[in-house]
Amino acid sequence: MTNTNCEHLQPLLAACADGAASEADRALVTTHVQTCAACAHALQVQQLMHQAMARRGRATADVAPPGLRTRIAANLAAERSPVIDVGWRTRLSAFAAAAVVVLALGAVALPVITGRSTVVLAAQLALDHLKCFTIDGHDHGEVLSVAEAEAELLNDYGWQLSVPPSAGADQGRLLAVRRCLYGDGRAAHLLYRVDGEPVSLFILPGLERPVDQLSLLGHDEVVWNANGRTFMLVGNAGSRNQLLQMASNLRNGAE
Amino acid sequence: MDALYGTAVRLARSPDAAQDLVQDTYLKAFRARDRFVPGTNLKAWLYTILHNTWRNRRRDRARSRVEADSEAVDQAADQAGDMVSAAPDSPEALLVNAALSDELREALDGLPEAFREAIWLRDVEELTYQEIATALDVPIGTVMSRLSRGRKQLHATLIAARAATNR
Repeated sequence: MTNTNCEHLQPLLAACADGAASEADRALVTTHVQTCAACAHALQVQQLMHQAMARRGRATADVAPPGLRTRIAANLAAERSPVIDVGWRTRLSAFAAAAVVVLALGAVALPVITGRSTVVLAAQLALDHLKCFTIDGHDHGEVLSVAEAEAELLNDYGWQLSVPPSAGADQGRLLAVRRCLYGDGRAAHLLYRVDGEPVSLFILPGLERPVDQLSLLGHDEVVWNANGRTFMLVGNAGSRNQLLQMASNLRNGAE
Repeated sequence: MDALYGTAVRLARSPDAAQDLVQDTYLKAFRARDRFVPGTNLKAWLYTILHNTWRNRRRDRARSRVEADSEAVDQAADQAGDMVSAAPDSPEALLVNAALSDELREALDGLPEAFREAIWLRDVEELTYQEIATALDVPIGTVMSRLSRGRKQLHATLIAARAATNR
């Protein structure tokens, strides 16, 4: 392993061993090791250690202590503040990242606290609103009908749920239906566009939260309940009047 | 979070320091959330913040920098590696495969930090070379070099430890 060719190939051996090398590099190395015992040995060492670490490295990892998640959740809760002076696309990206960061912590602290606090529940749903619009909220001009939405909820999630009927232009266009997990169970998540802006309606069966209006995480939220279910509308900051009108339409339409 | 914590322990080699590191990482990630690009690898982004946080702490404490590319490291790995054969069913491969998790952990923790990071991020966390290069703020060629040298030294350490155990 002293000639220039061998030295040049050394870094490539690592990539060949773990499958990251290009076809050209792999061909170069394959040809070379047929006539170079030292590099053939070095390649085998790379493969052996890559496989050992890939297979067993995780077993050497330490598990995060339970209290760490709680402390981080508390730290992040203390950091929360509304973001106003940016467009909704920027805000969506920023909070989507925040949502993923928070959700990446795992469902340890939130299930405990969402059962007690509408504010925390609203915060979690605001993050779900952003996450789901990032994933599934692209507006291609198509509209999901109430029948399609109900069929999707039933077929994809096994939910037999009445999607509130449309009640005028303020209702917006229904784009997609998803199921979200929150602290106390599952929520149907209906994604709308109203005047181009993202608006979410969450329906939480088996939970009755009092009528409320909140502003947090750069969003306005309107809460009400009916027939043993809680409904939460989530929209951008400044959309409260629009949300209240939608809530009124939805409630009147359901009666 | 376990994955991030596991990486932090590998870096800091202390559970307490690792907890501080992970807490700071999440806090910084939350504050820098507008810089995350949706559709890119969140895990790699968090590792980048973790690595930068760790590097800044080390700098603040004015600790001596690990010379990952030193000739001594190369020579030690070369010498140990050349003594044995690595055929898949060779005694050497059997020794590596028989190594206990504790032995693997000790061998890994004994590596220079730059090698340890590269191996962990690639072989355990399965980041791409580009993601590792971004996280560590080094060129891809350096990632390849560190991986190559790190695995070679890890192998030599493990073989030596197993040989001593079986003696």
